[in-house]
Amino acid sequence: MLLEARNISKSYKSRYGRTIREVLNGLSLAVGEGKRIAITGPSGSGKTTLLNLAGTLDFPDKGEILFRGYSLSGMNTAELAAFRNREIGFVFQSHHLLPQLTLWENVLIPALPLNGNMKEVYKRAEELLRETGLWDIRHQKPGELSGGECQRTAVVRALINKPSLLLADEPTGSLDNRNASILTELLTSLSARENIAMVVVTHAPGVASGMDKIYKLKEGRLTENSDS
Amino acid sequence: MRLRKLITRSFIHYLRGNMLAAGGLAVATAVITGAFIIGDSLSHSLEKAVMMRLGGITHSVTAGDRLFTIEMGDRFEEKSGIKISRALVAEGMAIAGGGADRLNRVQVIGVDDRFSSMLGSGLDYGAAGPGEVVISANMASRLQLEPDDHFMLRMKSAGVIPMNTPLVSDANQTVTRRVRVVAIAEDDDYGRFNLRVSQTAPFNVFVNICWLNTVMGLDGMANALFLSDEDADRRDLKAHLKDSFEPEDGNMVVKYRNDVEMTEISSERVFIEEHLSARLSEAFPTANRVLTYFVNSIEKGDNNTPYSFIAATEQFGLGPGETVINSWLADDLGAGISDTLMVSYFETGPRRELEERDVRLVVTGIIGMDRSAADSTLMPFLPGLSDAGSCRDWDAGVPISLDRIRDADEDYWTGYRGTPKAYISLEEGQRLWTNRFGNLTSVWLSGEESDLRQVRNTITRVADPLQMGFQVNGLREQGLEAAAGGIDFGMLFGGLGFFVMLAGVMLYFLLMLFNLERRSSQVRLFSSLGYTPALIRKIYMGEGMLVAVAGGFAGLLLAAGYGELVRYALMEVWQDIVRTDLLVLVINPFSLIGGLTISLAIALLVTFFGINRYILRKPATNPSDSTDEGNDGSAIYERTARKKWLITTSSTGTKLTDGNMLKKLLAYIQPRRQADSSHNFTLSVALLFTFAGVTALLLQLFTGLDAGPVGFFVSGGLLLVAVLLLVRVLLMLVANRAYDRIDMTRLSIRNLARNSTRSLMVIILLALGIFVIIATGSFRKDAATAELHPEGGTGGFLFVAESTVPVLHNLNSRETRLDLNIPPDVGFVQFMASYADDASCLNLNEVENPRIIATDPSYLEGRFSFARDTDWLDNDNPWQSLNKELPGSDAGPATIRTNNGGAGTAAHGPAEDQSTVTAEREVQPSRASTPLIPAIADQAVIQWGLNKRVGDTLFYTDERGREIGLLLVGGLANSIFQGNVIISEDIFLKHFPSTSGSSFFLIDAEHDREEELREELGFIFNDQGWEMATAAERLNEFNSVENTYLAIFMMLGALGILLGVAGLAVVMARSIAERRMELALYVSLGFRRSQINMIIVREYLLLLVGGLAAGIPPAIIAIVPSLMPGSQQINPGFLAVMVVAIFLHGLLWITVTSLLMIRGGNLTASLRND
Repeated sequence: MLLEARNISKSYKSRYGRTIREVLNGLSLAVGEGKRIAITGPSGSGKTTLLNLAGTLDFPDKGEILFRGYSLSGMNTAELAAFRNREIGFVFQSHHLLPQLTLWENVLIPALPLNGNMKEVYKRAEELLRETGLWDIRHQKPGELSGGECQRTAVVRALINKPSLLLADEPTGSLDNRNASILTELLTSLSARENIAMVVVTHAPGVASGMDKIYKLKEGRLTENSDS
Repeated sequence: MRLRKLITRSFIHYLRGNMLAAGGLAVATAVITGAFIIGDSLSHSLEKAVMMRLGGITHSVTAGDRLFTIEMGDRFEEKSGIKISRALVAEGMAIAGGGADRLNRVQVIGVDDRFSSMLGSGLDYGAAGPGEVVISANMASRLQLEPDDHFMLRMKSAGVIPMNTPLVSDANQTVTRRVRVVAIAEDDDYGRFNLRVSQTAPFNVFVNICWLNTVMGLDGMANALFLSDEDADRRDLKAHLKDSFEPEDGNMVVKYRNDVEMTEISSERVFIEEHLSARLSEAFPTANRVLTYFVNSIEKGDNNTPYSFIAATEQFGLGPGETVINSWLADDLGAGISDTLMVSYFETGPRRELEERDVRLVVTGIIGMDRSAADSTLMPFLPGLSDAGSCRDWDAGVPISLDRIRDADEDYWTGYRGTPKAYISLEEGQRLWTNRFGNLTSVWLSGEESDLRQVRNTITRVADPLQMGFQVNGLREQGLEAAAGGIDFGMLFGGLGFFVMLAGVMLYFLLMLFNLERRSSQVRLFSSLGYTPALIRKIYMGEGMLVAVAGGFAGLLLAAGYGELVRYALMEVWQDIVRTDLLVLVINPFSLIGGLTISLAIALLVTFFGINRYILRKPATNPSDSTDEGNDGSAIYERTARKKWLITTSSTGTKLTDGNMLKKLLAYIQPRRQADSSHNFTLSVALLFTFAGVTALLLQLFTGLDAGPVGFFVSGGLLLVAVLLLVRVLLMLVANRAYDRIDMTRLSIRNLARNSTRSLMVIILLALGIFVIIATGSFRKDAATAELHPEGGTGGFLFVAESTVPVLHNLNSRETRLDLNIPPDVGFVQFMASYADDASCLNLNEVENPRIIATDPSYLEGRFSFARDTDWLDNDNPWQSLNKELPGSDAGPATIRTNNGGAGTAAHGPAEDQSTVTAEREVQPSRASTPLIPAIADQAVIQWGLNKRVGDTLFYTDERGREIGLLLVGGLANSIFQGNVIISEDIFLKHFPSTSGSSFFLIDAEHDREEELREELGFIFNDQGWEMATAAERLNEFNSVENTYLAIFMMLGALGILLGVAGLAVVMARSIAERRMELALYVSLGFRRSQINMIIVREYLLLLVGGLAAGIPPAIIAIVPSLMPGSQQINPGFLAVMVVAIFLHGLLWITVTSLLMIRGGNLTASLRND
């Protein structure tokens, strides 16, 4: 199993420690290698929280998250950073491209902490950009691109380090239908080709339908959608 | 909801950001308003100093070195109806602690019982009894004296006879008494009473005038009258003075001599001044005028009669070379009619140098020794001679060899006293013996005793006290004028604090920009709601106004604190500048309003610029944030006319600096997507500044053009602007370049270029700051090795000395040196000095007439350097120009030349070749018939102390009441002559003839004997009130004022840098807060916190290093003169420490801010969608 969440709970507290809201309550989830999962649910149900926990951007109050059988809770921050860098790819609703960098530079950013062989990274970046139709505009900056192009760039950035798990948080949320469809196709095809597991939080049925399983997050727990 | 409410709500909602911006403005306001407050405080304090040194006294009548009768004061009071007080003022020294504590140049003021009430003092100064003194608080503090303590008071003798009068002994120059302190006069008691225009408190000793008269061997004499009448007119006072004047007030003696039945008019000063002689001759045309002189010998062949008086008179109708002798002399010499006699006599030089001269006289008559012929009354009263019992008791002003005195001579003295043994014509006598003190010794009128009154009246009518050295001074008026015309500290501190103000304004600008940029999306909203750009601007300007008002008022509070801080520093730390403890803080409402208005205007201008430049012209939202195609490219403001102007100007600029390289460079930086002509424009301007700066530098280095340190400063300044413009271009270039590779450094550079305005602002602040600090540091003046050379500021002299009691003799003469035991290898240049105010930079008041010092210019040949000169200055022998005769009011145009301010005299130094005509103007037209006298002064004094220029004329009133003009023919480069105007001694003595002795000295000796000579000369001249310092110390004392200003400038510059760095931290914090999303992304991408931290630190470190790197090279250009061999060396260690300190300070702020901002909170929360 690639990712396993066991009985995790998460609540948000005030600055004085008082629990304001319990978001996740004994939630469990398992994601196999190369599997694609969609998580749906109403706003505020904890979808992004779950994604952040899975991506080690946040930590559960209770429960445990295992990655390939290893508990992530035992890692220090440096190890967690390295883990995210190598194993996780993030795609957000907003592309979060750095406006001061060109598209090419943006996709290379995840490679910087590695201090590794950049030649391979450049080669992979070129392949992905060509594949996604962004190669010709690689020297442009986010301000000069369309929203769809930006989001595709964000996908390339997420895949540049060949992660095992892609976490996408409403990846099509800010796109029109056409661009949303293109992006969904891109995510599924690339993850399938590279055997990358994917957890997608989405409201869009079109996106969810392309996944292996669809879960609904309600009252802090996941229930498998009977339609999936 | 009204617009006002919207503005207020926005202001409150963004209160934190707005308050930060207001903080920046508050700093700027504080500096601006603080400068006004400091200016007001100084002006007020100088005015207060005037009142504290004069009290209720508004005018004075002084008489130069002359003494007048106390009764003249009574008459003056009676005639004018103005209350007066009489005083006898002398200079002295105080010795306490058994000789261990000495205080020179003490002002001894003998006052009457009216003085205290006139001053308004609670202390009764006049009530001091014999041997009792009241001393000023500063003197008590210096000598650690308390009431009932005793000390020795040595005073310069005040006498009616000028000290250097020929034939008069120079013994007893001082009078010493042991005195008891009965009270200490604090400031409130007007203990700092001073007739001189100065903010510095003198050391005062107040005594009773009667006691002082007694001590000085006088009776009922005074030399000053003090008046208290604010409305008194000086012309009226002069008229009253004339009316009150009696012959005795001019030291004339008018008496009827029953023995010869004639009225004798003589002078207590021995000689009757020439102008008075002329008046008396006119008034009494039939009078017998006599000039009696003491001769060394009268010889005929081998026969010699020593030490005799000869009278020059019109009595015998003698011609030139003829003499009538008395029978005693005829017998003594064996002389008869037609015999030739050889007469030897001394001619006395200005420093009592005695030169023996001879004259041959042919005997044309011999008179008997009867009463009518042998008239002893023709001998003037000469103390030491007239009152001597025998010849052996003589104490004359000339050397007497007792061996030559025979019994016959003693018998003659016993029988006939000083009866002249020979007579010559008056014309002959005046040719031989006229001296600067006069040309007659007595005037004889025949008539009855009853005519005496008439004679006195005639004398009173013809004698003008104003031509006898009397002066009527409007003390209060002159003092207040001098205070008002003094250094404008408001402007000064405005200039000194300019960098802090700039830092504050830039900080305000940056923070305002932050606030506005954060809300740029609102512009789109307003626009979509149909707001016009004007209305949107109004909203933001309204909010900006609230911020400005908040910052402005906060700044006013800070200004008061800043003013108080500066006041305290001026009193305690920067004492060198003000030299007074009288400073009080004055907050003038008009200054507050002025400061507030200026800062509000600046704030609104900056806000207006920011809104137009960065908000309204920007796309309303980030295009990439749009949901679809994103960049609609819409901007509310289009670059229209300005853009066209930029393109046109840019093209012109390109043409001006045409070249393939430039084209390539321009092509290189040309943005790929959108050509922005402003890049080209900026680069063109940068290149123009580079060209100008480099050209100026090369011209100064290689062509001989020398504008002094300022020229290099300007070169450096031009290059600084060029560098900053190039930095801007570089940032644009980086922002628009696309890299094929990326690493951490490039990522940081990219981030910097993202908001080039902010980055540039920080770089400008730091670059300017470091430039100011380094360049200012180089202007520091120290009497370095170069200054010790003859052409330097010390003139190569080892010591500068001043004496309270003038030295009457020539210290270079063999006799004096033997007499005083002066070491053989020590040389002196002696200066006579007039009584006047100090015009050096140590005096904050505007002084119209600085002290005149005079010497033989030949002693100064090859010494010092000239910063500026005129046609009147002889390039080969500049100092000899002081002996030139100027054409008076017909003086033609003079060319003003600027010389090398560094080294070399106009005659011998590099300046000779480098003199360049920089300005030509007419010599200031002198007043009609005013004689012009060539003068030289320190250029700094001419320019700053006197507000004059070389070629201008300073007007003085000489001892005879005549106006003279001192034409400034040359300005000395930084020298020990600050505060003085130098003229030729010969000319000086014509106008100030009764000045006796030298009181200012330059001393030449081997520099390695400094300590030894300091002790030795101090001992020799101990009784003269000798104050001696090395010339280097004196120069450094003057330099200390300028250096203190520079230190303040540097300190405020450093404060500006601190502010800049603090601003950098604030900007950084705000920037990090703004970029939390970006930082969160780094986290999500697997960047470690340390790596994220490094990205941030590296970015701002680049700014810090960039700012320093941009500022240091131009600063080094600016200090080229200080780096040249032989120049005043700057301290590279100090500058290096300063740069490193700034760097470390910046690094600390950057690291701490980055750590704090990144540590706090959950960065990834920014990525949360739900």
